[in-house]
Amino acid sequence: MAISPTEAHYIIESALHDFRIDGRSRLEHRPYSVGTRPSTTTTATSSSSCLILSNGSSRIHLPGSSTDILCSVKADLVRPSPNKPNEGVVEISVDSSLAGGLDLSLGGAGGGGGTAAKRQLRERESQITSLLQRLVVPHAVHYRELAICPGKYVWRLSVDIVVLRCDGCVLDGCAMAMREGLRSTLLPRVSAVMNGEEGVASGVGDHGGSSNNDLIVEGDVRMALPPPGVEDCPLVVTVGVLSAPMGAGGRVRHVCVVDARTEEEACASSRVCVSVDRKGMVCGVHTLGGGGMENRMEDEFGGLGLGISSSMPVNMLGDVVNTAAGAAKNLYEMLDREKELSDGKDLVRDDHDTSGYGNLLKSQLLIR
Amino acid sequence: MDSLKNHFVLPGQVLATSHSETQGGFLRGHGTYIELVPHDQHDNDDDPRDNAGGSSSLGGMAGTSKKRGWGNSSDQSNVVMRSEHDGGGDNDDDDDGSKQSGEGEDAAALLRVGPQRLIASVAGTVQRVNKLISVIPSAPAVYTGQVGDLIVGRIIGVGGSRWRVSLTCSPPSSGSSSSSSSMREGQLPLSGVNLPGGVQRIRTSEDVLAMRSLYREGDLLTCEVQNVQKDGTLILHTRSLRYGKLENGVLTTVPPSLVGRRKNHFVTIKGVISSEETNGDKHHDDSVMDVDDGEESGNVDVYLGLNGGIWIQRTIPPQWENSLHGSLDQDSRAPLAETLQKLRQRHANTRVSASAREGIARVRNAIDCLRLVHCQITPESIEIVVKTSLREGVRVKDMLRPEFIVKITEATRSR
Repeated sequence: MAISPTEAHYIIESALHDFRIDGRSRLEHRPYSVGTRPSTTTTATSSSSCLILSNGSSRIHLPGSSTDILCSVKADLVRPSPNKPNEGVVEISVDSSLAGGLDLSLGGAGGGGGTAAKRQLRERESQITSLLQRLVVPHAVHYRELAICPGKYVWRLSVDIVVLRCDGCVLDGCAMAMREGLRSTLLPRVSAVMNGEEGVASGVGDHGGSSNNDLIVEGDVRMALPPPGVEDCPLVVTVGVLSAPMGAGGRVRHVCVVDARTEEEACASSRVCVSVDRKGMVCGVHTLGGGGMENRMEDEFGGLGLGISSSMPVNMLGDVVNTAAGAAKNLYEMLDREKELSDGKDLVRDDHDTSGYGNLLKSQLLIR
Repeated sequence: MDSLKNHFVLPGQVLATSHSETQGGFLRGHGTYIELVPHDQHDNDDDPRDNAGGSSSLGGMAGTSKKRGWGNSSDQSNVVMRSEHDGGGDNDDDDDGSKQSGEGEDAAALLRVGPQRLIASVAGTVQRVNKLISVIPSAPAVYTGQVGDLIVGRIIGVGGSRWRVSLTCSPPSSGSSSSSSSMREGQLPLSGVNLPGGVQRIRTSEDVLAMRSLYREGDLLTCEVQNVQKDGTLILHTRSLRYGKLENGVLTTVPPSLVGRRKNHFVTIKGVISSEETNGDKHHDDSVMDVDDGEESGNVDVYLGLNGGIWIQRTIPPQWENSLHGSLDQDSRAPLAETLQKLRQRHANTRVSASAREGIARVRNAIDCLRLVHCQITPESIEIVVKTSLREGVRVKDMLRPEFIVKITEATRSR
C-alpha cells in the first residue's frame, strides 16, 4: 500500500506518543474474536467446530470483519514418509485469493494486469505458507504421538486457511486461526491391531485379504481428544519497527508496534515475525522487508536517511523479541478469554445481546 | 402504474407481471431480472404461497419471489439473469430472441412460455420510462460521481500531463478487477490545479516536468469533480483554495453510500476532547518541528469525501491566522491565497499535540463505529457518537470493541 510521507509521519509520531491512530498503545492487539462454534442457529450440535465437515475449524475475525480468517483441519490416516516413519504430518495450505488488498510487501507495488496479479497472489500465498511452515508447524503438535502404528499409520492433519479479508498482520491472524483450529480438532482414538506378520502385509498391501491387521476406531465422540501437544502450538506476533528520523543530531528513533494495521504496516521500516509459545519461549524469528517508504522518506527529511532502510540496528533485535514475547502473553490471555466466552457462556451471551452486536455486526455485508 | 414510481423495493421483489404472449408488458432495465411465472402460479394466482401480488397490473410489490431449489424440473428454473454491468443496449433484448439463440434453453424457454415477471435484483427506488422499468440502487457499492462532489483521493500515477487519482484511496494493484478501473479512478489534469503562487498562465512543458513537486504518487488530496465524461471517468480539479494536499492527519475509508451529499463537506466536530485529559506531554523536544503552542480548542476538522474517503485533522487554531497577520503587518493586504498557504504549511510542520491526537483518534473510531453499524456519516452523527463515548467514559481504544460499538451508536441507530 502506497502511503504518503505525511501520513506515515503522523502514524510514526502517534506510535512515539504511545497512542496509535486507533487509540491503542504500542503493545496492544485489536479485539480479535475467535469463533470455534457453529453459527448461533445451530448451537445445538455437539461439535465444537464452526465448519461441520471438518475435524476442527476456527474463524478469527475483527469487528466488522476487517480481518476474517477461516481455518479448517482435516485428519486422516496415511502411510508415513520413509525417513520419518514414526511421526505424524501437518500440512498447510493458504488461500488468500478472496482477500483483495492483502499485502505482505514482498514484491514491488507494480503488477496490475491479470496474470501478473495472479502470480503475485500465488507468491504471497506461498510466502505465508512457508513462513507458517517454519515458524509454527515444527512446534504445532507432538509429532511422535500422532503415530498410530509407526511405519504404517500416522495421522495427517491438513490445515487449510482461507484469508477472506485482512487488515494487516496476516501471519498473526493465520497463526491464530491455525492454533484455534488445531485446538478444536478432535481425533478419534484409533488403535492398530498388528497381529499379522509385517512382511506379508506390507508386501501385499494393506487391504489385501491375507492380512489380518486392523484398525479399531473408538466411535464415542466423548473419547476423542485433540491432537497431543496442541496447547504448545505457538502464535506469531509481527512486530513492526517504525523509524522516525528526528532530532538535530540526526538521531533515529525506533519504535515497535504489534498488530499493525495496513497503514502502519506500510510505513514500517521493517517487520519481524516472532513465534512465541504459551510458556513464552520464542520458537522462531523471521524478518520481513519493510514498506515501500525508504527512499521517499530520505528525500522528505532532507537526507537524514540513517536507518530508514528496510533494516534495523542489531541491538534492536532483542528489544523486538522482548516486545513480541510481552505482546504474545497478552494475546494468549485474550484468546483464552474469547475461547471461554464462546465455549462456556455461548448461550448466555447470545441471549444477552441478541439485539445488539449479534444482529448488527456478525452478518454484515461490507460494501467495497 | 404510476404508483410504482419512486417506490422503494428490495431484492427479489416482484415489480411487474406480464400475461401477454406478445411480451408487450415491460422492458427490463438495470437492477432487475426477468423470471418466468411458474405454471402452478400462473394457473392460480391466488396461491397462498405466492403473496407476490402477481396480477396483471404493475402494482405487485408486496412479496418476494420464492427461491426454488436447483434440482427442480427444467421449466421451473427458467431464471434469466444477466450481468448487471452490461450496457444499456440490451434493455430491449426481450423482443428479439434471435440474439439470444446462443444462450441455450433458457432463452428458448423464454420464447416458448408467455407469462413473465420482472423482479428487482437490488434494493433501491423504481424508475420507469415508458415500458422500461429499472431500479436505481439506493446504496451503490461503487461511487458514481456528480459534478461538484468533494473527493478525498490518493494520487496513484503521474504522467501525460495529468495525475491519476484513486477514488478508493487504495494503491493501484490491490487485486480488484481492472475492468472497473474507470469507476475507481479520476483524472486530475495539470490545467485543473492552481500553480504555486497562484499565477494564471498557460501550462508549459516545465510545468509538466515539475508535476511531482506538486503531487506525487501516494499523496492524498481533496479535489472536486469538474466533469463526468460519458464513460463515467471523472475529471477533477483543485482550483479552489480549500482543495489541495492533505497533511498531518488520518485517513479512513467508508462505503461511499454512507456519505451523503450535503452543503458543506468540510466540517468541524466540536468538543472531542474531554476536559480532564488536556495535559499535553511535551517530552519530545528534540524535534526538528515546532511544538504546538498548547492552545487547544478541542475541535477536529473532518473532510467528508463523497467517494468514501474521510480525512481527519486538527482544526487550525484561529490565533495562527492572527499571528500571521501580525507578522505581516506591513503588507496586511497579503492575498488570501498566501495566508492560507502559510497556514497550511504551518499545520504540516507543527507537531500535533497529544490531546489533539486523542481527539483525532476518537473521531476516527467514531466514524469506524458508524461504518460498522451502517449509519449515515454526518457531522451530527459523528458528534453524537463522540459525545456519547465521552459521557460514558469509553477510552478511545475501547470504542472499537463490539460491546461498546453497540452502546455508543445507540442514539444514532434509533434516529
